[in-house]
Amino acid sequence: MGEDTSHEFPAIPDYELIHRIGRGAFGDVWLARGKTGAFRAVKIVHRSTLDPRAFDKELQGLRRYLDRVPPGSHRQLAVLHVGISEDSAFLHYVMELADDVERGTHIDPAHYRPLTLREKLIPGKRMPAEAVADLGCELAEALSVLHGFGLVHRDIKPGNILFVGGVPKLGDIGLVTAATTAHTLVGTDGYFPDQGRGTPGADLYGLGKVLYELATGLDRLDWPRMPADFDIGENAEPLKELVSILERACENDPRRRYHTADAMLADLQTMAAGRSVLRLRQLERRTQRARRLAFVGALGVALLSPVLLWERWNTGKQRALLRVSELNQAATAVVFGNLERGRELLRTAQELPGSSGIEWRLLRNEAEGDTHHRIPHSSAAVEWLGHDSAGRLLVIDGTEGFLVSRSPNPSSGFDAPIPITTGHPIGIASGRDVVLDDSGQWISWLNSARRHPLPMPKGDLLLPSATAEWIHVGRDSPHDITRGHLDSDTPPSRTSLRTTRDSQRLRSSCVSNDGRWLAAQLYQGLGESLQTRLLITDLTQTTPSHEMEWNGVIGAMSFSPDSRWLAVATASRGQSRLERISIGSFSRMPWQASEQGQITALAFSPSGKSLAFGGTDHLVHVVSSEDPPNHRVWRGNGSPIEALTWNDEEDEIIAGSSNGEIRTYRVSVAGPARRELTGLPFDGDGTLIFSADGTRLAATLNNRSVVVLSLPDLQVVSQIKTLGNPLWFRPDTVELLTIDASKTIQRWNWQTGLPIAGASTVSLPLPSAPVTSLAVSTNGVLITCLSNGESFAFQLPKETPRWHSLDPSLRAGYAAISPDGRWAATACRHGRVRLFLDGSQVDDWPADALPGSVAISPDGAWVAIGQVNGDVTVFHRGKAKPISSWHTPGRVESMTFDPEGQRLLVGTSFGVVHFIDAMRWTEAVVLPVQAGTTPEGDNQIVDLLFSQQGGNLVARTSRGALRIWRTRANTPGSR
Amino acid sequence: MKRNEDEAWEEFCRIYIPLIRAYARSRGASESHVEDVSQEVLTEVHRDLPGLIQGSRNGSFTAWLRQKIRWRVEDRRRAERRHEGSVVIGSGEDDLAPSRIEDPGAIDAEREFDLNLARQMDAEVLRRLAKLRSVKPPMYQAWHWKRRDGWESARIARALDVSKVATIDTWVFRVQKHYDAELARIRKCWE
Repeated sequence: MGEDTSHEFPAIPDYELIHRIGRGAFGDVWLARGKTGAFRAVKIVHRSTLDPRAFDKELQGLRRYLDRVPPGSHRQLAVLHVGISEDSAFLHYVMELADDVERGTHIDPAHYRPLTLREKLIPGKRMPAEAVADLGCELAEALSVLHGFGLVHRDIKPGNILFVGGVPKLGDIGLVTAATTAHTLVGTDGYFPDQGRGTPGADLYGLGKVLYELATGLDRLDWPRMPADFDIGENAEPLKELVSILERACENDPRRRYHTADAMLADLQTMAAGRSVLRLRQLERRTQRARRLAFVGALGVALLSPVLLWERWNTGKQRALLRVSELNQAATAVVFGNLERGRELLRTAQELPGSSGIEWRLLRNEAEGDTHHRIPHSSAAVEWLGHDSAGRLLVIDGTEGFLVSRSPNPSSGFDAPIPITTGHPIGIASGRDVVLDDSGQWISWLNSARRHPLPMPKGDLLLPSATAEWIHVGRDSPHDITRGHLDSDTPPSRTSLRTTRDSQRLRSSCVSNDGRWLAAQLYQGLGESLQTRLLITDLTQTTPSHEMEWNGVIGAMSFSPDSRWLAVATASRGQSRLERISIGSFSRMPWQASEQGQITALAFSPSGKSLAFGGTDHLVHVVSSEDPPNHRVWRGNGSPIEALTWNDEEDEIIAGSSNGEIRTYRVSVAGPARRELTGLPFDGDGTLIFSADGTRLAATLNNRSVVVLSLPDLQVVSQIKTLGNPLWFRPDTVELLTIDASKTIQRWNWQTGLPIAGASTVSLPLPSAPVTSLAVSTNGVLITCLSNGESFAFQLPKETPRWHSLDPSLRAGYAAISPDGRWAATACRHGRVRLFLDGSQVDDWPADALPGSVAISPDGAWVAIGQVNGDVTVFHRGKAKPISSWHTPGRVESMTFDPEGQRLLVGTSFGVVHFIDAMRWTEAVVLPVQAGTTPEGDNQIVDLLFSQQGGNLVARTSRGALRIWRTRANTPGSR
Repeated sequence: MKRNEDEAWEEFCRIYIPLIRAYARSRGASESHVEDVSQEVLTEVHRDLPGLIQGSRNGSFTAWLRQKIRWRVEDRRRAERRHEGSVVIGSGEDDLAPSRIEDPGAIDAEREFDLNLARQMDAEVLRRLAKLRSVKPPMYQAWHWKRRDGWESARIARALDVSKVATIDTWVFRVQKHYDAELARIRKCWE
């Protein structure tokens, strides 16, 4: 720029203005010489060229710059002095002078032209990208310092980048202003963004454009166009790297632009150091994509959560309904004796939510029965069980032949079946390991597969286990008995018995182990005209020892090992009776009360002290030879039992059934199944109480006595002669309290059934009104309701009331109390249900029907009212309205919560117990007391009680029967 | 003035100021008159801007604009002659003769005007494309290389480190759609 002397020279103290070297929007720049001779640039801004506000603003900006950017600061053009004329007509500031375009730092005032970046910009000519990056680093660093002082430049362009001593510096200081007040339209078109002006990002936008022009030789307005030879030459790769930086700097969206000069500086330095910014970008993009995906995923989860929750809730509801349905089917199957089906349904239900409820455990215990081991086997019917000479279990299978276990322990599995002769095998002489087939034609040896023909007519072929004989009894001529020896070829001997009736045929027979005694069932006629006789003969004689007419068909018979007894099971009219006949005197004596179904298998224990029998009731029974006989029952086989045997130690019974199931039952394990106690003549009236530990049950037998039973075997411990009803087992003592109609409490020793010596009776100080309801907690808090509307609570055995409530409108109430004795609920016939905590009323609900019972959950949260119309209404503490209502067919006369408070158990007059889920209050599992329950029959449940420990549920029916269910997870039989 | 009028005015200025000056020169305006003619024409356009934006004018805008420029140039020339005292003697028709007689060089001036207008409109469209947020710099570059520099898609993909060539074709297609739409809009408004 040449000399310009057309304007008047303003007077600047200490400086001589030489000539104008630049003209800006807001003032002129002059070349000046100081008193020391140093050349400076002086910018003069006339007040007349600006409005007063802009003039003041310029002055403020300069002073701010002076304050914040001291002279000598890195990369900033130094402002040495700021002043204002005396008449305030103009302001001036003195700056260091840029290099000369041609002479560099040597200043010739006559030809001086300041060197700016614009001088280096030649259209079409490019700088190498690396050089541009280096220059960009210096300028970005300068901007970083400026921004660090809270200032923005606002007009980054090539003309404002001056070189001082070869160092690029940011010029046109007058535009510098604080970042917070910079949103005014200042700058040069193309170098500032449309959005986000006056911010550090806008300065970087301008810098990006400057670098773009340098690197591509294109105009700033051409951005983002790239030259046509972009990918050619050595400069291509560095240019790509640089462009990736410029793209971010010149981003139209302010949010995606560089926010700080440091960020841009870092990228430029990365490039200048020879590393790839493009790779960095790729990494950033991937990270960003991953974040976006994560965000979208999180958003999706957030949006889908309600749907998923609903779906889960709905699925949960449906699965709960399915579970209830499965359990109801299982209950029916179990009650009707189809234990296999019951177990299968319970396994299905186990996979559904909430299966660990007490009803599942109860049914599982019912279906599984007692301790046993199941032996893997085929599904063919088991026809015979025994042991060979090596102690291995032999199974005669209806389709496959013999199965021999690999070891004495049958659960170890079986070897491949041994096929034997045609026809079905029927027996084995274990001493010789031989087999007979039922055609009576062959004898086979198990170990050698040797066969021996027996040209005998059709009949029973018997093998006394202790001898080496075989005995044949003809089917059509049962009086002809043939005997032969297994080990010799001597001809068999034939004996013809002389009996009273020769026209009868053989139905079944058995032989004693020593081969001396033969028992044969003979028959004549069919249907109504069927005549049966039992023939017992000593085979050493030719005359039968004993003949007797027999009423019914003998299902099974067996001699005891010592040949002293013959056990005979007879089926008659759907029931079986077991008798034993003394060999010698031939006297008959009943061995066991009649059982349901037909007995099809008998097996004496090796010692002969016990007899195992089983049949169509799927149960395994054991009776002892003691008098009276001890009867124990095991359940578990899923179908009628066809074969039984004992092991040598007499501690296991092995039972095979028609579905191919073989189970072993451990005799030594206590707790035989005894589901119902019908032997005692219960009145069906009175009360039931459990001891705190759940091992004893006291029940009113009749109006003169109370019986104490042990659990779970329901053995009678003692019988107490009293006019009262059992009230409370005092924990950790032998004390049982009873209460009679005169409200007198008596104390008994439940072990002996006698009054406790020295213990006085206690008369509760109650009015003369009749007691309508009594409830006792585990710790002995008694709550009693009287017909006059009064309710009392006592801490037994004290007679002083703990609390007392009176409401004459509440007549004939029902009471329930939580196990800890703190929560109590009462219900009356005319409308109110109340909840008490330690005697203080907590809630009061209306109930518009006649209550038949009331129950309270252990934590006092739920109160249920059972009504005579079958409705069950459930209230929750603190809620004014009922939470749920439930309808059951029949009257509801007994209810209880389980100890965990998860199920409400409702006993009805239809003889069923409803298990209602206390969390959902939806479909209930219904368990009949017994099969074939009829509405309003003898099995009306009048009392339902859960022991707090021991897991026993007891129901008392109107005919006085006690039904016990076990719900503990570890009861015998559980697996 | 409303914002859309601001934008439209800026757009008009960017496209037409160089054209007005060039056309005025080609119509014989001296350098000292070019600025005045431009200011007068701009003032008239600015006055009619709302109508122009709403498209209420009839006929070609460029023809109307050229007519305005010609008149203003003639006004200046006449005023200058009047100022110099060279009064034209003759009938009133003779006074108007210079504007009515077809200038042989006018055909070239019209053609030049149209060519410049096309260039200016293209530049304006490119300017707008570059500022569209939906058109990222690589997309713009791909389009420019493909359409203006005649690059193959595969070469563009290599230059931009894009793995799929189809991506480049998609970008070019999208940017071209934006270009066509912007050009149609500008032509509808200012042609």
